[in-house]
Amino acid sequence: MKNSNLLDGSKVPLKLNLRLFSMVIILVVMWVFFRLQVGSFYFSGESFAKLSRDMVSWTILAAGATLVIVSGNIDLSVGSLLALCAATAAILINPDYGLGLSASIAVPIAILVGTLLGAFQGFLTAYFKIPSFIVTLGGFFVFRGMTQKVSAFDPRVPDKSWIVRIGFDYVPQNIGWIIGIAACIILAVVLLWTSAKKKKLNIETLPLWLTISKIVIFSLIILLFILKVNQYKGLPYQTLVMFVVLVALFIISKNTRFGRYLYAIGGNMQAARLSGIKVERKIVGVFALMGMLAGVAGVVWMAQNQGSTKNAGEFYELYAIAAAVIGGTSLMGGRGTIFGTFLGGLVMATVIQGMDYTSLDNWLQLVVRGSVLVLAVGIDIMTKNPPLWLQQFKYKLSRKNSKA
Amino acid sequence: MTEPILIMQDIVKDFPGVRALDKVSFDVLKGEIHALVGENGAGKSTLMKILSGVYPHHSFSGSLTLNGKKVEFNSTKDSEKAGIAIIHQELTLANNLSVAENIFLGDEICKFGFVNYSLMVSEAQKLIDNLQLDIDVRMEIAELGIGKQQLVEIAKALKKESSILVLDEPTAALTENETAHLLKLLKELSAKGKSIIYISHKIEEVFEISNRITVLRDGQTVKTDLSSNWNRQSLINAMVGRELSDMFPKVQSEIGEVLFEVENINVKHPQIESKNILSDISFKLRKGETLGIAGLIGSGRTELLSTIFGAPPGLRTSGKIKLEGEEINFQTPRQTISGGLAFVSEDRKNSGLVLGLNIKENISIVHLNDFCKFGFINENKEILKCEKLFDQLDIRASSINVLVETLSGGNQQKAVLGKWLIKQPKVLLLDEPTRGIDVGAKVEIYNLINKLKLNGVGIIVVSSELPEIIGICDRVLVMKEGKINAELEGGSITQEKIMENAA
Repeated sequence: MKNSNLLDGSKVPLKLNLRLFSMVIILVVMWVFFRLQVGSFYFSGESFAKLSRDMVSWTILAAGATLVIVSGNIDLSVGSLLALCAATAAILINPDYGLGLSASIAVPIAILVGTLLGAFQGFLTAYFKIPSFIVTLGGFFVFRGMTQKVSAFDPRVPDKSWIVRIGFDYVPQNIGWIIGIAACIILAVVLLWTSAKKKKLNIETLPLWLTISKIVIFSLIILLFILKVNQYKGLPYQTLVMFVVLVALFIISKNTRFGRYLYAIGGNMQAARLSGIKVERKIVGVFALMGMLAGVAGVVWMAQNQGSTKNAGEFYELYAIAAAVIGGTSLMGGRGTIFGTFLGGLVMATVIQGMDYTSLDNWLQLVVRGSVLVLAVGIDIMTKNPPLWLQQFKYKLSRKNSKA
Repeated sequence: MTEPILIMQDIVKDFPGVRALDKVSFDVLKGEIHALVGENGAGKSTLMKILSGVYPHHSFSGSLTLNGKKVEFNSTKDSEKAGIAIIHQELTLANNLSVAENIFLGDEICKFGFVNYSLMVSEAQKLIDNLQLDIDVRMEIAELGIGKQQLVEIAKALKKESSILVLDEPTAALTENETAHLLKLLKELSAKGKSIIYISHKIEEVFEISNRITVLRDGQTVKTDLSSNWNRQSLINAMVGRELSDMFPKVQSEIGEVLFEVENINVKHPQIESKNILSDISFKLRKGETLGIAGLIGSGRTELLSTIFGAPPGLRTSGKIKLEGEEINFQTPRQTISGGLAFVSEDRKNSGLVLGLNIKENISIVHLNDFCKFGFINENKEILKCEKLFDQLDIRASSINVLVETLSGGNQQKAVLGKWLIKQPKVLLLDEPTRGIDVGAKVEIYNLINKLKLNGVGIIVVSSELPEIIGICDRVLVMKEGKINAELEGGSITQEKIMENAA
């Protein structure tokens, strides 16, 4: 009786997983392809370390962009904001043109600048009802302009500053192992503990074998990754920063009130408001979070480049949005996951890095990058919500085949 | 009588895991109004989607015969060409275009790609005048009330010279007046030889208008018979499949002291500076009382509820609300929710539910704080509470993790109720609580209202269905043009009295 009105509602979670699964397959296919093209270097520890390193700054942006998009907004300013935060940190640290402050002071200030500017954009969006597309398009220009001023002399960061290590150094191999193993243990404990607690309260949960295989698969991936990067110099510090950010945002999106509210606001703003959600404040909040992440990404970018330049982070807002969208975030709002975005970022990074190795012309690289974005989203839509003409075409094809 | 113009024979349609239609046969005679009734999920919409080509020819088994010839529809275009016009429950008009442009949408009067606007307007006006509708075709759709929009939709279908007209719940959003007008129009059309398939939950209408009635239940035809051979009770029993003794199971609750007071509310029209949407509204509500608010659409009923709830549709220039003698702020919904108010809004898809979230997430959203510590959601606590409501309200779905967009109307409505009843409110505001849902679910909702009443909750109900207002309310306020025009109590609550004061 309970199932009478249910057509395919119960299958939705499975569908989502199917989608992630197909993305993993795309990734594996690409890896195999590039391995054949590039040779054994492609699967070396150095290659892995580089891949994980190159994606850091815009994947951090993409994680924030996911939440912004989920809330029904968009942020086009993050690339410029990243540059401004990088420039701010660099000028504060640089002893020649700037203040020569210690990184321990400059970095928090840069992140704070990002947070405040993000919050201000959220404020304009939420309280003055200026569409976020317009506000952040404005921010895109304004922050770039300010970057050109602040970064007028392209300030460098001295070698002795600890922040440079984030960009260039590696976690020592044995500590890398400890981090990897600790991550696996935490994962196992958390999953088993929640599962046990659910069972005790008589709440439906995944069967034990599925939970365990989940733990095993993820642990294997983590340990394999550590093994690989340790074959080179170890886990890059910046990669570690990225993972910390991703895990934090994963938790925010899944387990906090704030995260839940963002999905509700993006899914149906009117219903959210009538449910007593203070919509305006949450929107300011998500833009502030985005700004903070732009600050973090800016600092990482500065560390990678040991200073700032006027055109730091150009196009990064678009990479961020692309990664989120490839990862299944809906531009209509209300849908999207951090894990999906991580996979989307990985797809983008793989394409970019792979093409670098095959030394494709720059113009062609851009063409491929853009095509991958449209293809990935296109395939997703075609499999999830095929348009009628495609359904008919498929049907006719199948009828022909069955006749033949 | 004449030959059937349309015969649908042994239609079987399967969805993954469910047989939606099981050998359904259905026919329509020329010039008849054939009512198709059944609970939500009985298969009415599926049957009509087959007729309109939404489900292409190969996706079901059975045959369609139109004017004696077998037909295969592969798209909605095919069925339109064959002369079948469907007017859906959800209107499909372009809000930003004029009435004339909508009527000619996709079929504009053109020369060399340029639209002859004036000719289109005059043609459209002719059509509208023929139907005796009081509409200026140059107006934008958005400026018309929902009732008139419905009539425009019908005019649009008639323009295509369709021989079969399908109307899916056309009166769900209409007032009594508009409904009467529509029914009259349909009768005239059928007298001119058009065949009409009429889908409705409103039994009175069905009896008033139809020549024959077919009842579907769980994807099967229960019976097709002349309307005169059915009666109210036999029809309801056929739909529900069980005896439904009383549609409005009224309980006599102890009406206690004054619980809630509204004083002197004035709200300005958002666009028209000089106009008020609500003027000088004051009333009192007692514990355990059900107060009905009747009136035509546009009389300010919905606006009154949302204003009380802290979401006024325009600028509120004055007004106070008091709960248990204490004045409470009502600037935002959060304030009124904390005070103990709950508001089940009229349009569950636009303002009630977040369709992309699942049942659990929708139910817990209002009082999410109760499941949180330091901003982190205690998922287990949330699940246990939501499952309890899920069972109590008897929401039909496999689990609380099902997305609400996949639920039927009645179950969605129960989910909306669930989110407001997760904590018992002191005052419950209900706006069209049974709109577009089936008889069985309606009775469940009435029972729920009664239960809350016995617990001392004060309830305010806005409804366009007068039998419902009369059946469940202790007292009725009749609104007209933003003011309370009359207050009716006890025996004086009758259809006539209400209409007299509303129109």
